[in-house]
Amino acid sequence: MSESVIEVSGLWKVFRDFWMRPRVEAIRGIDLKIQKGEVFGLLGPNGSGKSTTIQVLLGLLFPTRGEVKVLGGNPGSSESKKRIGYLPEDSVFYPFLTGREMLNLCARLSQVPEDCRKSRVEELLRMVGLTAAADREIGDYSKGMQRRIGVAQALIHDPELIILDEPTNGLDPIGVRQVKDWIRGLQKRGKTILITSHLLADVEEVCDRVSILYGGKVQDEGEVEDILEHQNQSQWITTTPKEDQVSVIRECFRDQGVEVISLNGSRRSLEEKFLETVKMARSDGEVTAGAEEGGQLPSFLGGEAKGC
Amino acid sequence: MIPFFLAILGLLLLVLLLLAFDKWCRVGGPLLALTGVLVAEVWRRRLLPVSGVILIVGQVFLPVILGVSPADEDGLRTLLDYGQGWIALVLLLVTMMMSCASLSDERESGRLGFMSLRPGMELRWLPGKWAGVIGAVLVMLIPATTVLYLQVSLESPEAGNRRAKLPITALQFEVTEEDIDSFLLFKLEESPLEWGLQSPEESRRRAKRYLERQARSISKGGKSYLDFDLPPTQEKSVQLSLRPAMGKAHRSRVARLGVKVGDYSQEILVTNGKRVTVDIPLKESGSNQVQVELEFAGAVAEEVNIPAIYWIDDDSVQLKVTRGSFFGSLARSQALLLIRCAFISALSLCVSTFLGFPVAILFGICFLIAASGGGFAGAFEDEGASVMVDPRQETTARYLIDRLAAAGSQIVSGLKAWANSNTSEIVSAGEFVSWTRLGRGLFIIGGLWSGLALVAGTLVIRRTEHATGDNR
Repeated sequence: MSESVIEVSGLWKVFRDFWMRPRVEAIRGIDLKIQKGEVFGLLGPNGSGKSTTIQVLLGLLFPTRGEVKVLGGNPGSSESKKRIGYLPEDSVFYPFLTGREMLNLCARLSQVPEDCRKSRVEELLRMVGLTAAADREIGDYSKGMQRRIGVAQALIHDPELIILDEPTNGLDPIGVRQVKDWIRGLQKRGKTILITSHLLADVEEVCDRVSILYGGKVQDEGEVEDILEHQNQSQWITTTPKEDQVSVIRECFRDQGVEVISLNGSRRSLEEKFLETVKMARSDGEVTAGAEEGGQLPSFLGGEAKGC
Repeated sequence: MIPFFLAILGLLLLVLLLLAFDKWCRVGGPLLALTGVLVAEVWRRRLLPVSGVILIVGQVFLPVILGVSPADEDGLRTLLDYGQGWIALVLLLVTMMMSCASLSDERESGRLGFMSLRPGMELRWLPGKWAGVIGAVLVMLIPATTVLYLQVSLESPEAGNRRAKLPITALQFEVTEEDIDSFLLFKLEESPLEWGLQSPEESRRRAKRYLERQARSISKGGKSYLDFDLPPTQEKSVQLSLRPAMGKAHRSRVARLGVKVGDYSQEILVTNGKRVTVDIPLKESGSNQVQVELEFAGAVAEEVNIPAIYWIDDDSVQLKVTRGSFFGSLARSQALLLIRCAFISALSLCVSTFLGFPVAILFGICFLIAASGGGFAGAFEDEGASVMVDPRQETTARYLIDRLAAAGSQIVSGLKAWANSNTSEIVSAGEFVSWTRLGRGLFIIGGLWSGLALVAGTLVIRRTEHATGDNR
């Protein structure tokens, strides 16, 4: 049995007004268990309690009722803070600091050893494709660039648990692709990742397990494969058959008692076309003021070459 | 030409100091990292450069605006008075702005919550920002004070090199408990019916008032003997500074006053409410005690009747001894200003942990207004201590009201410490600002008050939820 990184039982969070009268019941009895090395998705529409749950796990909000254990300790304890990386939903970085200064600040506040600090900052800037824009003030960054710097700051102290609140929000398709690759890469290096999102396709691709919230309660929870399994339906991908072959195939299926529900011609996705176009523009040497092509995860992030 | 040169010099000094401070912040640990963020914030959001330019340019052109020259004594005093006032005004306001704006912004943007996720941040927030504000104030204070000093010493070299004077108050102006005891002993024997029937508190209060009045007035034709304890000095003379009050007589009325110290005697003319100084030669006697005999000979004009002259304030009669340099006094006075700014910053940071920017600023301004009246606090102190309480009236409500009044009295007397730390007038008058005064200001205002404000603010931060998203 693997070790639990997050354990939540019977969590309630009620927001009160100035006179301490209950205003909103944001979370109503959530139970959650996330294992080490897992990528866990917290899904739900706006106002379903995803962000509130995360803020409670981080110790930023105090639970009204229930028990919360993060990395074996209380949320918000100094020990757990050292081991958690967090990407907030909104950009809350200092707009007057440059990207490099912001990362350096986060490294210093997280007590990253001085001899490792500079190399980590540079590696992460390279990873998120912001080396060229590192000396520009964050206030001048686009939303996507701010998300990228957010991802970098969440990883600067090599945390065990990474909490990403809407990580792909505001990113271009290249950024979305990279974030998904990084998440998978981080999981391979033994990190536990908790993601909230309402972009279901992104979650589906990277998460092992998901929990669907609505009205402050867990409505469904389980392995992604199990949850998404379409009962009594399957999808086959073949080469495109000719007109006369289609009718033969249908006949064949009918003889076997299998009903063909839909038959569509396959085409490239817009994402694939987009990625290909940008890749070509980059290979032609086009200059951009925004983020450049990002790189691989730095070696200091719990990989085999662990060190600075 | 000189103002232009001074402005350039002041601004250059401002930038150099800022760069040095910024560099220092970059090499330190987590606390200095936060300090560095505040410095970057006030610099890049233009608050510090704009305030610095306003401060230094305003300072440089102050003699032109006031129409005074530091070459003459009155002009020098005016320039020092307004110069220090200008620096204090700008710095106290900028301190409040920097402190309130920074923390309120952190809170309202959700950054406070996000940054609190780094270990130990709750404890570092306020001290880090506080150090940043103090550093920023120091960066502005040093060039502004240098410019003020240069304004004085370039225009009038002897003014820049002059010595500060330490004012010494007459021993009789301090009525001690022993004085009251011996006075009461004498009075109870002399007229037991008049003094013996009063309550002990009432007798003591009356005795104190009587002794004070006696020490602080001379009736027409009468004499007064005032003793002064001088510190060890190499000087050959001391300065007697007098500012008499003559009741409701017109300000232009003049009286004759005889001054005698040892073998030296002189008759001088004194005007109602106007300060006059007399240089008195000192004889080497080995004793540090000097007795001044003052004899009031009446009004100069025969038709005017001035029944008595009074020494209302403690500085109405003072002996001034040369002690330390003018620059030393100016530097200590500005250090006290820095200490006051440090407290204003701590207070502003504390209230910004739960109040928005405009309300926090309003709170700070209210404090400054209340504190500027803190000098009057002495009037309440003695009265409060000797009020008789009728045991039959000791109800809970009365007890609560008494405790509230006592707490209020404590606050008012605390604000008096604030007024005592404002030494700009002392420097303008060419007087000595002592290290003791600086130390007392540092301990009470810089240590005790600021420390309490920072601890209170930190507790609020630790106890409050700081979400980063819409949950705020």
